[in-house]
Amino acid sequence: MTRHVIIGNGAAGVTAAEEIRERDPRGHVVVISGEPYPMYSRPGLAYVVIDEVSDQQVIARKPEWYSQERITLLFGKAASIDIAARYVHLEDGRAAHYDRLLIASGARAVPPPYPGADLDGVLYLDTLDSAKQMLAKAKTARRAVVIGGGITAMEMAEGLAHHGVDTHYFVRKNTLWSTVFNETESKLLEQRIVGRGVTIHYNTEITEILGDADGRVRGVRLNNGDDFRCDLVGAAIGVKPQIEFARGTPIQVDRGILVNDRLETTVPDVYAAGDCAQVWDRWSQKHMLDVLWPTAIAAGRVAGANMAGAHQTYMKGVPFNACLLFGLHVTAIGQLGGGRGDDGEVLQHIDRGSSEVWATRPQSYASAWSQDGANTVRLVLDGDRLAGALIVGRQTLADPLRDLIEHQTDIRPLLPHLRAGGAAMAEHIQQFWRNTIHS
Amino acid sequence: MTREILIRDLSKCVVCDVCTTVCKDRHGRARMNLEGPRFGRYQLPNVCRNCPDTPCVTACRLDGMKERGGRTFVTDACKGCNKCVEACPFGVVTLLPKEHKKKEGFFARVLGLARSAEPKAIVGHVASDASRCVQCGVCGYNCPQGIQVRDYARRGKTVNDPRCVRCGLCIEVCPRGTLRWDIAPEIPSPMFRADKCNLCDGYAESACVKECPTQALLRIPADERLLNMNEALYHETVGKYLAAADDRRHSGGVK
Ligand SMILES: Cc1cc2nc3c(=O)[nH]c(=O)nc-3n(C[C@H](O)[C@H](O)[C@H](O)COP(=O)(O)OP(=O)(O)OC[C@H]3O[C@@H](n4cnc5c(N)ncnc54)[C@H](O)[C@@H]3O)c2cc1C
Repeated sequence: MTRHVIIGNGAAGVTAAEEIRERDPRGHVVVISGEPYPMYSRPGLAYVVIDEVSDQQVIARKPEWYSQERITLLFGKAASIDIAARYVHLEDGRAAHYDRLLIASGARAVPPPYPGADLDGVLYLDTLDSAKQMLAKAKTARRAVVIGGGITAMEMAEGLAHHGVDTHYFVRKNTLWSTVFNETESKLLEQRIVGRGVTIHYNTEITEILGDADGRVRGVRLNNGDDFRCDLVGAAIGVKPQIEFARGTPIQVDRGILVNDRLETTVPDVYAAGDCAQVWDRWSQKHMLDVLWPTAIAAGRVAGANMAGAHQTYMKGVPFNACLLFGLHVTAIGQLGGGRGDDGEVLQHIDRGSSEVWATRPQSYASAWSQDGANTVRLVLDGDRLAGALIVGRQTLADPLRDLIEHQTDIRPLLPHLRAGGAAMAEHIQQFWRNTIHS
Repeated sequence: MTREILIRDLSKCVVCDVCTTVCKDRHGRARMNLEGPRFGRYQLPNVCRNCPDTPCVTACRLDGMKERGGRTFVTDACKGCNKCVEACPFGVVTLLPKEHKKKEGFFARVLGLARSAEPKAIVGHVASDASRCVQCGVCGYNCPQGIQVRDYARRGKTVNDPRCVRCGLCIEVCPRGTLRWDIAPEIPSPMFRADKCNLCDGYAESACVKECPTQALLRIPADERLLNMNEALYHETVGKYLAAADDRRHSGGVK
């Protein structure tokens, strides 16, 4: 009987466990969870903090599910791996023996890199406990500052404002979500954010978080020297693979755990998937991080299958995210060419719900644009193919564009219409999609 | 238009039940009953009070409940999702099966219109796209039947739970565009619809008020006139809302 051990009880880990169980009904499956909950929806945390869903309902699998599937859920933190003896050692002294091991430990928010990051009142949104903490703090807080350029920062701002906290969103550049958005897209979202009572401060950076005598946040210091009073600081400046226990082992690690297209690490019988894995990307010809839910699910499935004896290759798909920010629907697909972090410097951390691929630009890059009121579609072209798309507002084109991008459809017949742009572009894209893929 | 409420003058009422009978006659169901709190000479029947903070309207995510001119009423967009029923503090909103037709009047019966064939209901199911689902559970959280829609959605399955009332609320609330009707573009007709008093919207007068033989039922504006009639009654229907609004003003807006 093969003993399968999985470090991580998230999207990738649980999907892998399910897949192993299906293919190997008699094998042992142990899932180690560093958090005291059954699997919950991490993206769902954004809806917990705006009261769209309860902290109970966001838990996606009941404890009974694990027993039905005969999956052992072990609460505890992996501290180290003994590769030679094939043991995972937990912090509390327990150990789990494995024949096949999957590392699916995800990523965690990085703390702000300036003084004061450990003060009481510095909040993150990356675990269920952190979401609960944010809700508790929002009850008594008066004013919050939120920092970070991506989706999660905006979700935090939305949550804090929803609970009546006077919320100030500090942005380093002069647009929102600058790695992905253009100016028009940024303006559309800005209207929504301001409409919900959040104040945006562009070109504003923090140099220090200030605390009081009791170690609580009392404000922040800005790059222009001013102090700004607040009692909470929401930080979402990026995430980092949570893989300390793998360092110092023969498992090769870069920013994440390096895996080949079978999701095998450099050590036999040890696999990695999800946010913690750095996967070969056929688009950019590099190992890349994707901090995305669908990616974690797809990789978990392949890793699970291979652990149970299959020989599947993981084709890193086109990164896709359809999210709802301040009531505005935004879908990002593929390469968007937004540029690399700040002023060309390499992105230090990848954002939650983001993909490094978005920030990259295809080989022969051209773009097309259509706007109809508050609804926009931006296309990024790579010769006769579509490389990426960003859709804000009306989402009718989201599925057609995803299909065309994923299938690398030759869009030459469509090119004149794309060049013309405008409202008619949407109609042509849909027509073309129906005729090619959908027929 | 000011907000109006229905009250009963106990000194005039002879409890003949004409009010509830004519209400049932007009709407197919009595939307009121004569229980309810008393305030000296007057009483608030159990019927929609048109609360100033309109919890039923706030709860509705489908435009099925609207407020206009101080009245709240169920619109054609209602899909019977039960949220207004849960939200009503006085328990005066009910779900009725969609087939429930209001009683046909004399002319309709004579002209045979009452017998005209109902269009056949289109039975559809909620379908899903697994690649969009992040298992957040917002769908199941809102489902009036408590169906865990995400368990279908994560497998890309169609929700074929017999409890589904086809209200479509899960489709509406999903933040990711995961859910849709499987027989689009025709949207299946829902099975239920909310029902409550709307002071006989669309009629010249409220049936209960008009037909009361002793003029015991009154439809009165909830303003100073009510305050002059009975302070406690005024407080119950308006005063506490004003007090809450005052509180908010005095505490200086933002917490
Ligand atoms: C607020 C928010 C919004 C998001 N929005 C989106 C979105 O819109 N779209 C999108 O695609 N993605 C989004 N994401 C990202 C998405 O949630 C992740 O990409 C996904 O959860 C990754 O799954 P995973 O299984 O790799 O890791 P995780 O879900 O992080 O799971 C890791 C698991 O490992 C456990 N673990 C970690 N270390 C140890 C250890 N040492 N020992 C034992 N267990 C350990 C953890 O407790 C956890 O159970 C969002 C994330 C957040 C926080």
